[in-house]
Amino acid sequence: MNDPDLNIVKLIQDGDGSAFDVLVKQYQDPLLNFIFRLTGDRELAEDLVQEVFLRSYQAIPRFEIRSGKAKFSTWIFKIAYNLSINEIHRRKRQSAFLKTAYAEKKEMRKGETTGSIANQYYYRQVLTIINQLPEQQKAALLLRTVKGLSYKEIADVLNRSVNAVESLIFRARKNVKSRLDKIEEE
Amino acid sequence: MKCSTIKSRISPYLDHELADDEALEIAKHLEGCDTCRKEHQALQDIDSILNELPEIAVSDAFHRKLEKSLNRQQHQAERRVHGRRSLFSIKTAIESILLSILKRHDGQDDVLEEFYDLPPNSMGRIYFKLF
Repeated sequence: MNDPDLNIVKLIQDGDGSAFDVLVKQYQDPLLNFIFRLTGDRELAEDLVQEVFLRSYQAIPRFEIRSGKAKFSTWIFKIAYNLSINEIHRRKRQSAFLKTAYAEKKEMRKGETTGSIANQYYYRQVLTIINQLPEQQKAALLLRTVKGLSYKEIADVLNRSVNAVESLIFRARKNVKSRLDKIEEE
Repeated sequence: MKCSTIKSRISPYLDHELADDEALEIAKHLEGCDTCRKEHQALQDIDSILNELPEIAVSDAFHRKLEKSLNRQQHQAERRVHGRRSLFSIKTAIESILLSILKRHDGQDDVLEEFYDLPPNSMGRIYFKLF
């Protein structure tokens, strides 16, 4: 399996702690956005990204560099997914996540000079719909569309079979589509 | 292939996860079927929307906090190793003392020489002084 991160992982395992900074810079924003989309809470997402890096730093000495084994990106996203789901279950505040998602969306849009109000409203609707998806559907869809992971890689992250991932993504897309259709009818 | 079958395979087709022959069959069907083509387009649009959602970046304080946490984690790990070494030294000293007690009860006086090389304030020396 061709994994571009393996050289950096090998350096870290050989004692070069500064090589970890390379991985941090590479994955900080992708992880932040993935966790933010899962949880809807920006502050929580940043705390969880910190936790992902702390745990991966501890576990990297045991990461197996072997062809055919999971890629580093899959491994780190798996840690991110598990931490996010644990936190979501712990907090169980879906409605608060939605409110935060709206607030965050407004915040993100503050600096924009282009884009109509209708577009902004539409994006907010999409974000709400995504947040309302069942956790695994949401995670599978995000990992596929935004992160570009293959079904096999997503299966590794979510600890499901490839067929299950195909089904999750299919149902997620159908759910999003049917809710968007309902909004358009209203 | 029937439209109902095509619609159930459009999602993995969109993700390039199908075998070449199946993908080709679906591509040919889409060319000639408006309904399935619209379905395909609708799912593509959803993906486009998700990719257009603005990305956020870590805060300015992120790296500072992470470095602090990593250092703390490192120190805690080093303290645990040091603690285990200290416990091991104490354990070794206690075992030596117990061994000497057993040997003294056997009437062997030369066992006291085992304590001569212990550090001045170690448990072995302290025990020896009490007796």
